[in-house]
Amino acid sequence: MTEAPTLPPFLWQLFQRLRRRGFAIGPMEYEALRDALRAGFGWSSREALRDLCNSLWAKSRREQDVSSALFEQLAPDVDDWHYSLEEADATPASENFPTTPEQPDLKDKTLDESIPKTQSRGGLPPVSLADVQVSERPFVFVPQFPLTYREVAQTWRCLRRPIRTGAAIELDIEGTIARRSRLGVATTVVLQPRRRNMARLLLLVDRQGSMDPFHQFCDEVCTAIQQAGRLEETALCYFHNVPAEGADDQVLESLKGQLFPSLDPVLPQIQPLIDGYLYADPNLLSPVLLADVLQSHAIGAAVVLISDAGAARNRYRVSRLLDTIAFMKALRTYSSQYVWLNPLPKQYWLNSTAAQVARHVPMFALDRDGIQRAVNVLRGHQHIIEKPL
Amino acid sequence: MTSAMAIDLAQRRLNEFQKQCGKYGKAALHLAYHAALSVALNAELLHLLRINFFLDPPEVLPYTVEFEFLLSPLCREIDEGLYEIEPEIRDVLLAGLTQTYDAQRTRDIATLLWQYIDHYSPWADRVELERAQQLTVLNFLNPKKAQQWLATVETEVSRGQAATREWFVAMQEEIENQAQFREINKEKTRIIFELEGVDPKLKSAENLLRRHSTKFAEIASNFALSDISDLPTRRKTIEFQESLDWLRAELENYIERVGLFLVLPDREYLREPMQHRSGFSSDIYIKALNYVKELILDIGLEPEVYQEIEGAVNVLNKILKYK
Repeated sequence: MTEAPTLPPFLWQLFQRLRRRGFAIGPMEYEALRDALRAGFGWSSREALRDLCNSLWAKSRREQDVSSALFEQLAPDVDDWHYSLEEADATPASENFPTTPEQPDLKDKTLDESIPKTQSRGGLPPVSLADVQVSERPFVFVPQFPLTYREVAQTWRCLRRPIRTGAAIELDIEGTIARRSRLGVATTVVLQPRRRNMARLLLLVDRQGSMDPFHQFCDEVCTAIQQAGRLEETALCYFHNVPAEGADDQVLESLKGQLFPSLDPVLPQIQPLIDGYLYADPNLLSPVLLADVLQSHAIGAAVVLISDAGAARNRYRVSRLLDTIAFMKALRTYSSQYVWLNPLPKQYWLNSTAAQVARHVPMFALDRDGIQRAVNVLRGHQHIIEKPL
Repeated sequence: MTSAMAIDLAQRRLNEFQKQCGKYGKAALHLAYHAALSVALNAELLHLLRINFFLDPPEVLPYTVEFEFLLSPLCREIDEGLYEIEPEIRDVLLAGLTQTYDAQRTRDIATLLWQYIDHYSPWADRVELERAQQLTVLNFLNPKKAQQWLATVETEVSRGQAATREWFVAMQEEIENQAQFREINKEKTRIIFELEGVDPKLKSAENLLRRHSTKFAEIASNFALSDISDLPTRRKTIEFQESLDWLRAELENYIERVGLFLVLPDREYLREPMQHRSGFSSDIYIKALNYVKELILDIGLEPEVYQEIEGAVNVLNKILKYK
């Protein structure tokens, strides 16, 4: 049996870095690389090894980009590329397998790309980096958020409401047996509609202001839910700070004199509020009536709010809390399945409006654990909150 | 406000930010050093800086540091999603960047900024900002060329064919500021360190050392493992291992106290063998240690440390005899 090859040390570093970036790889995948090398793959060149790592460890084009850039950062330079076939006691793939076409060298490509010349625009001449010493380091341009696309998609696929609907195309075995038993003759089989996930989702996402640093992250999460969540319908609307504004602040009269009042004493007096506008686009340029959105998309659907609820600036604003509670009361008349996802971890909610909102609404951090718990709540699992509305 | 006061105030704000970021304070400040290179930044660029420079040890920063920086008093939002670091603070941050990191890091950041603009055109609708960013990159990579480019534009501006006069003046200031900045940077550093009661040379050595300490430990470990396998007997192996353990501990100790030899001006020849994974030449170690000795003599550390280094060199000589 061929002895296991000694892997170049940088591959372990690469493996660790990929794991740190959320790649779903473990000891099995590392072993797979060793096996592949033992079988003779990846020895012909630096690029062949890079492609092998990509094939085994990267599960999407984006992961491949990250993996390639990190490989180029860590792999020794071409001149120092001295892993030998004798040392590893392995047969080169090129001898046993058809030679793969020459791959373009990523490093050269990066170099070429890093010395471009801009176009003349607005009367300003182009700026050129020709003959300028630039860095040869390959950079990663794929964002690394606390949640990967795959994690979001996998979690939201658990939000299921299977209902048989549509044309009868699936064999109903029990029905067929029952019918044949009843009639005593070989009748035609019984068909039934296929089960479909009829779960619907309304996403309400806070934009601009303190949410600006989270735009990309929230977009990534929403895109993953929309594209890969396999839901019947996913509606997406945006708001700024609160979905509805203008709750009657007369109820706050009795709380005057308190610096950071809690709304618990006046909670029953707060009236539901659906006055206001949401926006159909992330730049908040296309307003749509909140009442219309709730009427069309919230009835019987799961509703998810994504907002920092004032935690990013660590502020407590009673008017914001009042508007939020008034809106949540209105939302409850359309749907009882709702959760709040906060892009900030829980320790940042302290002393801000977010901490108060979390007393009344199931609020979770927008991380792996948080979205799993949020989906469980939407599926009907119990979640204890301090002061339900 | 005098310039000294402004620097003092900027420094205080940076200290505040560092404190706010808790255990990540120092690395968060280093991220701010990186962000200061561009004239304006957005959340996306800051994210790219973090994932390219602060995702792997020795400096690892969580995602939350990005919003803490952008929403901190160090930055002000000048347009939707566009932030600017206040000029006085930016100067201090850039000073920190050059003191803490080598020229290669500045080149890395500038290249990243260039590639980001080139690939994603985030400011395509703001031509003057885009050019300002590109010119800043050019200025950090090759100040002479940046000056030449600006001189070309000056002619066109005067003919009314190019951007507004205000833009040109602002950019000229930026370029000149950076040129002046390069000149006075050393002096500023000296003053700041004097205020802190630290010898600038020693401080600089310490900073450099911290950056390379992980690399050093890795090299020391590779060195030990590769050499042990060559030894013929068990007794010698144990003795050798003990010596190496001691040596490694000692060298790590020096790193903590003094700084790694990579600080030294002719570091190129030291860098070269590091790229070889097969082993690490003991000769290089001795040369390196001798350099550290010189450095220490130059800086003037305690005689005990000097003696420890002498000891390390002797152990290395012993190791060489085994070989």
